Amino acid sequence: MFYTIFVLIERNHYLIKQKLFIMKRTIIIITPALLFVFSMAFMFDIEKYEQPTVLSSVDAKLEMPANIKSILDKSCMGCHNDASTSTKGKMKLNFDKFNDGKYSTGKMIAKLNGIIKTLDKGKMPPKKFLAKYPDKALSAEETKAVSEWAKTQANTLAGE
Amino acid sequence: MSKRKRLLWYSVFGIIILMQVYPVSQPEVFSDNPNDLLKNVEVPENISSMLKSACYDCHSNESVYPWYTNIAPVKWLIYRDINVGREALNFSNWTLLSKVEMAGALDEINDEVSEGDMPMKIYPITHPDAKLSDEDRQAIVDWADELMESLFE
Repeated sequence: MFYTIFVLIERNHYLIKQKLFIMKRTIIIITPALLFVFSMAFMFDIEKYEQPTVLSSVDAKLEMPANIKSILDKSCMGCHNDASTSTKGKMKLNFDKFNDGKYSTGKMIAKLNGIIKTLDKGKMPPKKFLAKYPDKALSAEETKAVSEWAKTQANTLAGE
Repeated sequence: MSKRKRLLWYSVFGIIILMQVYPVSQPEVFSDNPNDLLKNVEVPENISSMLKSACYDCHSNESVYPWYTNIAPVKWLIYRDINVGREALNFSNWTLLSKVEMAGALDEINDEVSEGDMPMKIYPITHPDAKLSDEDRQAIVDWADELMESLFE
């Protein structure tokens, strides 16, 4: 009887060892594959942003000084317009919708407030994007100018 | 059990106990919130109950802490989520926001809820009431849009 138990344990031990070996092998194979897929996805994500267009005009209710327009064209319009391939960027903020009446007054105010908050947190332009286009970064003065512009416009629209 | 194994288990328990002792402060709960959205704005019953069950644990001062939220390492994550959530939007401080900020908040609610980013995926696992159907989400989005427009009439 003891012998049977001993044999069973030994066998079990052997099987576990074999399983462990298979697991190890799988991990060794899968890890580089996953890393590769992730890095490809990362690179692909950056490609998506490339779509520089120019801000044509904005809603008559919005005042847009030339310096603000050029900053937006440089750093924001790559993604935040109708033709953008960045679905997320387009959904969160689309400057073309300021112009064609697709944003209601409330929506315009909301989006302007979003610009202020996002710039305050330093979240835009995205780091990944800047890694590829370092010249599109916003300087501290530019950030401040856009943020103040958005604040004034939002308050004017809100009648405050 | 070999000496090494025993040592290993002792250190595991030791680390777990140390984790419990490590000081982190629980985000405070206030029950009296005179500036709360639901106390100041007329919100339809179906929406307010969804906000209560799916949002208020993190986006208000009325967080409810089930037992497991006070055990590290779960508590570290949850306390952080509540702090971040309240900072992004706190329904308990609704009337303290300017109209512009209210519009911004409602637009963000629209984005987050319609995209399925909120409530966080992990939340409905322990809070079944927070599971939102597509119709629920649409109802919240419509309500947010409507309230946003009504701010500037």
